[in-house]
Amino acid sequence: MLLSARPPSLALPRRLLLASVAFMSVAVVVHVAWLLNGQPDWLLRGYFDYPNALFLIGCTVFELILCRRAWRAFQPGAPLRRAWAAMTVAAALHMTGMVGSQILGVDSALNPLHYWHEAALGLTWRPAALAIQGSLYMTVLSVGLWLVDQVYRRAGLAAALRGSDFLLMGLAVLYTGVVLKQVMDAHPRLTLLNVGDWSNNPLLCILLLQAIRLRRSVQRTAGGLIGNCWNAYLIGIFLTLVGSMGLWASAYGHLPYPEGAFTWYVWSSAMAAFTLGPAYQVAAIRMAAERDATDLTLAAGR
Amino acid sequence: MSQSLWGVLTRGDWRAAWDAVRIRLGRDEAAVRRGRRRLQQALREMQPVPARHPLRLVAPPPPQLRRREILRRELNIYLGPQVAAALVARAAGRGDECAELLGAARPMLELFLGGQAAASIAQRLAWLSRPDHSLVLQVVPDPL
Repeated sequence: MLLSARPPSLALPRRLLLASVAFMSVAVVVHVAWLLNGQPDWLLRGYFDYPNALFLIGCTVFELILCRRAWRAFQPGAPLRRAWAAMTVAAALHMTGMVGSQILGVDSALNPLHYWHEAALGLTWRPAALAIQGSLYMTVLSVGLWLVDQVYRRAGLAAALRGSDFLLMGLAVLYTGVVLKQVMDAHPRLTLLNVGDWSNNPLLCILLLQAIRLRRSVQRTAGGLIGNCWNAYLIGIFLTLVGSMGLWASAYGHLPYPEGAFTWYVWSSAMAAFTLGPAYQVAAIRMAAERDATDLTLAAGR
Repeated sequence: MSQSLWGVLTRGDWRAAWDAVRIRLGRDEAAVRRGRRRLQQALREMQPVPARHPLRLVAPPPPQLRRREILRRELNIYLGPQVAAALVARAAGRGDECAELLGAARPMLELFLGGQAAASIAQRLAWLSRPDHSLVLQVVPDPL
């Protein structure tokens, strides 16, 4: 029916959202089964090495494809084109790091090296891959977000920060300081292998400060597809922080085991959010091109 | 439920549409009754309408208000209600012609959607300046 038909452009973000919710439901079932059956290792490894790894890589592949589409939709010289170029590079790093850490750096049947040269596994790939999907990705993402912030300012949509924002920023800096001190105590010498441990949290802190700053501006476009796009990125950053805090709290005994294990599942939600961001931008651009005058009249009659 | 005359036109029921225009003009009582019946029938075929709620025709708002509302709804999709309302208010200050309304909103659309997408929206909204747009009628269920 004409009036109730959903615009085809919105199908992609909706499908991505549905797929993410379905995957989260699977994660809940696996986690409950793991808790009820005496926490067997095979169940967790089976989940994280196969469906979870494929979901994360799938998300980053979609993220790269959609970022590239968004980038190419803007003409040369357009302010958001530069931002989407940075987001595309970030997405490429995200995907590369994810393939390295979830497939090539893991001893699973998905790893082609598993059948060929087992000695190349583990330490060789994983730290480098984690540095790419962590530090490098966050650095380029930070550049992209800075460019987006400039666009919001140029559009006159920049909003002033409130007291609660400064409180959040203070907490983020405090958390980063605590974690950095613990990392430096554990790894006093900066080497190629632990550069990720050193830089991840300060970079995440910078991203969080940017996200808090951008959040107020994005709120002014909330409810529209463009607002949804940048909100998805901000949610992805906050979820990354939650995942990072979960790992830190578990490692230093602040989160009881196995009750605190639920934070392991946050990463897939963060990846889904980073994929939804460009999906909303592409949907907005496609909708602008696909709608016709009939849609306008019907909208006015509603 | 409400439905614009454009819906009837796109469906190809030109006779019902023309009768509806005559109803609006109120020139011919017989045409009013006939047109009303046909329009009701056409609309019932388009989507389910409760039988005990006969339709009545409602005069559309003045063209300039309708243009603003259509622009606001279009901007709302991309930029959200707050920015859409602000842009339409800014546009209304510059005039009510389609070009003026769009001129105020286009830089923002170009910034967030790119030049090509903004041009598509501009082309679509240019339809609002067509003279036959004044034929748009709304049909709503009669509370009696």
